[in-house]
Amino acid sequence: MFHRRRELGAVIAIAVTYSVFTYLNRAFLTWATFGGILTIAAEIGTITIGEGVLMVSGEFDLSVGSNFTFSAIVLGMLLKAAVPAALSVITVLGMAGLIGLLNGLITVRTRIPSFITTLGTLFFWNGMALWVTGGWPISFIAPLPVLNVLGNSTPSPASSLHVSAAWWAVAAVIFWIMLEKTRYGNWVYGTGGKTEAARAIGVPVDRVKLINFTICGLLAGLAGALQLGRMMSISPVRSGLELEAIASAVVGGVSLFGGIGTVLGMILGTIALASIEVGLVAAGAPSFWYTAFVGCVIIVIVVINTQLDRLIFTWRS
Amino acid sequence: MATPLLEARDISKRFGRLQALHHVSIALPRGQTLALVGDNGAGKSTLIKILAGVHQPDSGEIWFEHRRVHLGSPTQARRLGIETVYQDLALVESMSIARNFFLGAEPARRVGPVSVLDTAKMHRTAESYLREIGITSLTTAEKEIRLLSGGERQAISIARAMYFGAKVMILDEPTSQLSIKEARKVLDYIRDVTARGLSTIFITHNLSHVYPVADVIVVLYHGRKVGEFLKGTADPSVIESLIVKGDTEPADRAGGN
Repeated sequence: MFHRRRELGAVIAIAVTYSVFTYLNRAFLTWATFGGILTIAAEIGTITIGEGVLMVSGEFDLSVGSNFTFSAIVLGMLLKAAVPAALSVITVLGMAGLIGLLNGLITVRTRIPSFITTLGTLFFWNGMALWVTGGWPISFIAPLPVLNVLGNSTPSPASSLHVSAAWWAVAAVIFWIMLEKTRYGNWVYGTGGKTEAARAIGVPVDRVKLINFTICGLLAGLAGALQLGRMMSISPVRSGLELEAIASAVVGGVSLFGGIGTVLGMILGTIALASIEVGLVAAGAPSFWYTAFVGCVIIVIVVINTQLDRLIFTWRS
Repeated sequence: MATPLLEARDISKRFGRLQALHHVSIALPRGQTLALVGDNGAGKSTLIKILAGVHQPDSGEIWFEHRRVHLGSPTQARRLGIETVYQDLALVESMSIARNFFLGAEPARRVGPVSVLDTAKMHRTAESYLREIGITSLTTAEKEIRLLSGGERQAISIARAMYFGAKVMILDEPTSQLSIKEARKVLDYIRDVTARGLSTIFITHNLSHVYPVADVIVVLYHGRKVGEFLKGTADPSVIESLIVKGDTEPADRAGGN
């Protein structure tokens, strides 16, 4: 089943990153560093799962970064207004899901590319975030219990691993089951693989897309809540996380053209990029290196994946 | 001839100014193969799309199992047991055989609160149907469709239609993009499924693919039925002339009419 292992690129990236940075700095190969990587990966990775699932069904959401920020801000404002914690979280997740659904409705009804729809909503929700905050960050001085549950608490006082990674793991398990083990998952692959064939055989492709847009929005909102919990602060300035999420998914073997991708790949892709980020910081490189480096990694991995695909194709007997 | 399983009576269909079909009738006997032949624009595709529920005729009737039926959509046709296999629209290349075989009708079993795909059953069933249809090159349903040949893809579509209880299978140009060897295999599959009681209608350009399997040959020309032949009664040169000119007059005298 070699031809199905498109996560290979991410595994290679993780292995190379670990080798290089451990060579540069022995401290890189420790559980503490790995905990830090998982903590960074948890928030992007939660967005990546939603984005990846949506990409498998053949659509994009460029507004996840804005949704992420706006959701975290609304959650912060609700908590500051002393709205009960559970109600605040549920409200924000519902709102984030609706933001995703709105992207889906515009895309499916008007038949314009989701790239355009969500480019528009990227700006719209970013503007809303700046408007409701006046441009100022929202911060909490004392940790609320709900913030601890979402992201702030750690297994031990000095640990770099935060509880947000556990929420990411929960999301991963749920959506791994959904994609691999349910009828709905099969419809997602069919919808993205060849929309017209899936439609002709009776798959409700439009409904699949709407549901996936909603999932994508909801997970972007959840990621915002996790980061608010971990940092106890959120800035309304553009995060740029949408591109990091798409990059993580692509590095993990998710196809830009739909129909191909696994949750395992999305996780490995996120970890690959997060370990590069942590590694560069640990090696003392300025943070802008990360941005430049990620660009190279994306290109290299996609080239590797494409070449592997061609090789397998010519090997087939 | 036995009573027909599927019958189109006096079908006419117009698209704008183009009269695509003009009072065409065909009858498909149970367990037999009907080949629809004709040049481009003869109306073959329009006729099978009417039988598949894609288009509705302007006039005429469709009878299926002794009842007059209305085929308003592909789903309605499929529910009656009329399955259409379109060459380019049948399978999702990036998915495995098993996942394609059951797409839209996946078997599931309950595990606690969730309904989980019965992957074991999907693989077992797909593999046994592929064996049954006589395809030996595929032993596992794990393989992705994009790695398969055109003939193997046709075999999977045919096996899938069989499994889902099709009574009539309509094949749109099933051999047009295949090598000679593969086309022969696909014709074998068609012969095989008709031997099991399925009735098939297939469209083709290639007359050499018609004679080995067709029980009935219907020739269309500019939207009209210009010939109908039972197996063994068809003279290839007559059919060829019907396809090209719509009549059987020899070419040298045709100009004088």
